[in-house]
Amino acid sequence: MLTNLKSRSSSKLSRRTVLKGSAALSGAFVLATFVPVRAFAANFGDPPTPNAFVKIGADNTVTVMIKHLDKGQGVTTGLPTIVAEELDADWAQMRFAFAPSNPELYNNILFGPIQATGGSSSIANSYEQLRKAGAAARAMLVAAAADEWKVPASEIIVDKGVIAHAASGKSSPFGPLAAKAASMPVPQQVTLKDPKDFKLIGKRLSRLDSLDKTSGKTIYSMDIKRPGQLTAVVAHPPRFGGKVKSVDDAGARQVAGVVDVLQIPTGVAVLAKDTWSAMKGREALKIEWDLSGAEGR
Amino acid sequence: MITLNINGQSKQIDVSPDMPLLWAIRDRVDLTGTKFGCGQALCGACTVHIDGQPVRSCQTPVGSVGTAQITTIEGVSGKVAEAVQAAWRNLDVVQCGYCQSGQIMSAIGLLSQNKKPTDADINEAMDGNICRCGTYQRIRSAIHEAASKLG
Repeated sequence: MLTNLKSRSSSKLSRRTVLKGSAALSGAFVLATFVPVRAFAANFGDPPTPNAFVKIGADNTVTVMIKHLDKGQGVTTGLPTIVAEELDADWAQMRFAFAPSNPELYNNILFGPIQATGGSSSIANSYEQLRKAGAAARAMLVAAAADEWKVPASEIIVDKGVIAHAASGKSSPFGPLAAKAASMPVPQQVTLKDPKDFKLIGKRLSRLDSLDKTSGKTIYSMDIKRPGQLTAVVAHPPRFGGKVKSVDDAGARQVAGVVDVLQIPTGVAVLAKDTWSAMKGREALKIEWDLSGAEGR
Repeated sequence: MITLNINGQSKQIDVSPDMPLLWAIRDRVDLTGTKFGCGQALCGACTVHIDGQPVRSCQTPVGSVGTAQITTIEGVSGKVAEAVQAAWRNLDVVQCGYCQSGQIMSAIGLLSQNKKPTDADINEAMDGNICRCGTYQRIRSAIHEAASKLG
C-alpha cells in the first residue's frame, strides 16, 4: 500500500503539513504524529454520500462499505456503528463489506487523496462522513415512507430499524422501502443527532466479524484463489542485503508441480502449482550468495 | 491418488504422500479456514481433528492419514463445537482472527476430553496455539463459558 501511496500521490502528500517532519513514509503507518483535524473539517462527508457507504437490501440488511483495512482493530464494527446510529437501525441487521479500490469515493479525508489506512485515523476521518451518510439514508427512507403512505415526513419516526407513523398506524422495516428510498433525491444537508441522544455509539456491541472468523469463512490474502493462479515462495539470503551470486535451479525444476524459477532483487522465487511443490522446489535450489554488501551487525 | 475422509465427505486428490495434510486441505480440497502459520508445528494455526483428536496438519503427511476422519473448522458440529463457537462470539474473542480456527479446534478437543477444565488445564491444552493479537484472556474465559453451558 505504501508503494502505491508514494508513487501515486507523493506530490500531494508533500504539501500536507500533517506529514511534514514525520517519518511517515518510512514506516508501516502513514501517520504517527499529531493530526490537525479541524483544518480539514470542511471536507468531512460534504455533501453526504450515502450511496457510497450504505446499502439497504430488500432482505432488510444494512451493509456498510468499509473503506479501510481491518487487521483486527475492529473498524468493521466501529464504522457500521456510526452509520447505524444516524440511520436508527437495529444492530442485528447491520453487515459490512470491504469497499473496492476507489480513491475518489473512499478517500482518507485526513491525508488523502488516497484510500489509505493508518495512524489510528479510520474512525476519526470517517466519523462525520458516515454520520452524514447514515442520516441521509434515513432521510431517504423516511421520504419513501411518506410518499408510500401519503403522510407528512415530519410525523414519521425511525427507531431500531422500524419506520413508523403513529397517527395512521403504519409501520415498516427498512427492506420493503429500500428500493423506493434509493430513487429518492439525496439530501444535500442533513441534521445530525445530538450526541446525548446516541443509542449505539459508546455502547458495547457485538463484533460483526466474529461469525465468519469463528467458522473459517473469513478470506485472508493467502486464501484468495484465481483461475490458473500459481504460488511463489522465495529463497532469501541468509543475511539482509545479500545478493545471488549464482543459482543452480536444475533440481528445483525437476520437482513435480514447479512451473518456473525466477531471480528477483530479494532472492530466488520458485513458482509452482501448489504451495508444497513450491516449497520442495525451494529446498532443491543450490544458491551461492554474495554477502559482501550484506548486513554484518 | 489419495482418498481423504474430510468433513464427512470423501475426496480424491492426486498428490505426493509426503505433502503435509495442511496443503492438501488448503490447495487441493480448497478449504482455506485452516491456516498456515509456521509450518513447523510451533504455532497451532493449522490445527484440525483426526478422529476427534487435535493435530497439527502442517506436520502430518497426507499419506499417513489413511481412512481416519478429518474435521476442519468448516466441518465442526455437535454440542461441544456449538458451545465453543457460541462462547467465542458472545465474548468477541477474535481480533484479526487468523489463529482462531486453530484455537477453536484445540478448545473443542479439550472440552471433548475434559468437561470442567481448570485454568491450568486450559493453559496446558492451549499452550501450543499462539495468538499475536494476544486474545488469551478471552480464549480462557470463552472455554470456561462453553464448559458451563455444556453443564
